[in-house]
Amino acid sequence: MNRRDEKLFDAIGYIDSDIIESAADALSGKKKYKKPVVLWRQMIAAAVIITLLAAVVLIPILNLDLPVWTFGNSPDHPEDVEKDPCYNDIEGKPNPEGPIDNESNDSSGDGPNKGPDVDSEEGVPDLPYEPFTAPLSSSNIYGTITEINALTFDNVWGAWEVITEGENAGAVHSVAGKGACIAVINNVDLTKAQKVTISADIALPSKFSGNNSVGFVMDVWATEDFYWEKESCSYYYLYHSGRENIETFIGKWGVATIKGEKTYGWNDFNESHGLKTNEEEGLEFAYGQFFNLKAVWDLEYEVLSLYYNGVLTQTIDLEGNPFVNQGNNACGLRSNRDDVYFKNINLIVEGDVTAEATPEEGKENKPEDKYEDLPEDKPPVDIPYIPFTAPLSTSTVYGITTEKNALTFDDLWGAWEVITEGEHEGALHLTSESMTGLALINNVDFTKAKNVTLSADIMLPEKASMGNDVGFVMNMWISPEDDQYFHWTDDSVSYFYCFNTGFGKNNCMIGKWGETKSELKYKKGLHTFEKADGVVESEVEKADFKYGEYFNLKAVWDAENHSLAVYCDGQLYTTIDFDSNPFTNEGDNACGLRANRGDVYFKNINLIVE
Amino acid sequence: MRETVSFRKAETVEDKQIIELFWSRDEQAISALDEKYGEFCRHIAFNILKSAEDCEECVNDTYLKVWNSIPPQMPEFLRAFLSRITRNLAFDRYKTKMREKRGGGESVIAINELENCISSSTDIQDEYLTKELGEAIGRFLRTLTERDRDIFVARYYFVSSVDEIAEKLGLSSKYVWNILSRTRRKLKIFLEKEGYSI
Repeated sequence: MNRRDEKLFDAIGYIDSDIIESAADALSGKKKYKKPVVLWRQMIAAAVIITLLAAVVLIPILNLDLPVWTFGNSPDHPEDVEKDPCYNDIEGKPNPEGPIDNESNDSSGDGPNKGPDVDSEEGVPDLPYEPFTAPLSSSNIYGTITEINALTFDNVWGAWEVITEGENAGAVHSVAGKGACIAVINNVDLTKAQKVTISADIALPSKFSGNNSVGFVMDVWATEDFYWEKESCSYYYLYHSGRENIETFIGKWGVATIKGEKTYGWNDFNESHGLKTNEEEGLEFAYGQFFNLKAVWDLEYEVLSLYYNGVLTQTIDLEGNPFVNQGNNACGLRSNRDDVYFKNINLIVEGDVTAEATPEEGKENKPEDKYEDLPEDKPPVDIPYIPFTAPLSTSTVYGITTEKNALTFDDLWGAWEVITEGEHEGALHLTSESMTGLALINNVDFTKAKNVTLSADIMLPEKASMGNDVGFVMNMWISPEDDQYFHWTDDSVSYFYCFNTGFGKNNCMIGKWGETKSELKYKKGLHTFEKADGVVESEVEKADFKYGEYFNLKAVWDAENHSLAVYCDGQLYTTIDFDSNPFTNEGDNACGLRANRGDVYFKNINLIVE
Repeated sequence: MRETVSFRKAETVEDKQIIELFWSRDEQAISALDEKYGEFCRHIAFNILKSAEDCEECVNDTYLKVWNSIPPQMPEFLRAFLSRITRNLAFDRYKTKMREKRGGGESVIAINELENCISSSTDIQDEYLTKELGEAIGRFLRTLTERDRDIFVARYYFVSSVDEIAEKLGLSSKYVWNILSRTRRKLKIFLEKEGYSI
């Protein structure tokens, strides 16, 4: 203690009596401040009890044959995960073959993970090392890029793969070379989480070059002065290395609207964004060997704690919940070089985040009702009319926008509504005519589907005007080859239009809307897929679509034969051949409806995935 | 083992009655004061001195000082008045002890935590300037939420341990520590703006 400290301590003795009285009251136990953790614990306890009771009662009654898998494992290969030696099970079983020191991953809380007294009298309590098993929210989406690691990622930027043999067997790494690669659990709602932990064993190359960005990504912060754009991504890097220093970096990449002007680039978070970093202690990361890195967002205490091999190295004071962008948070890995390896990746979410059941299965969309609004002489269609009931994949997400249609859509562009009375009762249509509307089943994985069929009864207005785009949307095509000249961004959408009307013709069009990268410049626009893109259009028999009455339109994607068949009122209209499976964007496919005018009506929408 | 000390005002004798006893120079005032606030004063003194013997002497000195102060003073908040005297006496005794290189306690930790909130080059030579600084801190404290203010005062005025504050306020130790850390940073910025430059 020095003299200035004494004087400050002395000076505190002069604070006003009412302030002292207030604190004395608090110390007397008269005041109890709210401990936020209590409520969610109670809620979780209640939810667990209700769930267990429901399971005990309902499962025998309904004789449900429920699939059993945890979010921490690959849903497609749960057995592989359990057998894999690199997988840390829920009890914190160490990796017997890995080069890392798994003592840092103990579950007791008493081991090295406990952390030293860096900034506290007692240190910061550590989390047990567990694979992620709890559901994040109803909007969880998981694709599969790792068969061996506990986590799977639904949204992958760049190419990643799991190494299956050699010294790094079991590790996931980027194979996109210098491209920025991110593997994230995307579109999750962490706003109600109490604690979010991500950890992994990471091996850096022996020699690090310049401008490397490796670490974890946590997508947070939507602030007023930094407008959140769909394609923006806020990052938390555990370290950003290569420029002579290794540092913790927190920032956001994307489209920033600052003082009314949109710019691309980095925006480092600072105090104006409610972020304050503690004094950082320099940290030498290990190179050429695995070390454990862990980040713990503690929303109860509003701090971010960073651990290196189980040792607390830094805390960042968040002064608030950074997960403000409800339902659109993400977290995962980042690397921009392929010689960085991640193993034993764990995500643990604690708090009031509950999963919802799959949507209602089209109660009012009974087969016998199908043509009730159609003329009696309507020809039959060649697919059985079955409301969509089968799971698309384990990652299917459903919102509820239609009350009368079989399908529900989780992602809507523009305003859509279900008409509840009149001649179009039960039909879905767009109400914001000035803009394009899309109603999508989004973020689904069609890569393993054999057949994907989308059908609907559509009614066009009596007179179609210029430039109408009406039909189906199938979101596909993302491959490294495409990326070379057609850069995929978050707001790009690949379309399959069953028809594009208004310019004096009705035609079938396949293309992609979004950002195109041409001569290193980004432009927004429509890119129509042609032969060079792997699309070969067969001879198209021109058909006059009907106006002012419903007709049935159906598109059948046949993955085995790489062909797309389009039917009009059950009659084959056209087929389009592809060189390969267009659903290459694993876990991020979509399909649905498109319209840009309100007097187009969709009824009896069906999606069948085989 | 941590002491459990009540900060509660005893319900038996009103502060006003005790002050009246002091004004009438009735020695019953001391016993009434001790009965109601003795534990409270000992707690503050013990937090700083960590010695039962020193604590007892400090509390006796407090009573003497109160006896000599009332009258003429007529404290509006007797508990705060007492706490201020106890704290000052304990701290004086603590400084003496430190000079003699003996002992230490929670105050060492608490005071060290305040390090860097103010520059050593700041010229605070006399009580007036210390009081002025205290008033600045008071203004700062009024910018905080009641909870954060209570936590800060509990820690740096009453020198209570983080665990005790957490227990009494129904919070976790980690949370209390986080609030203290945050408040210290804010105080530093505030004092810089007030001219107590780093």
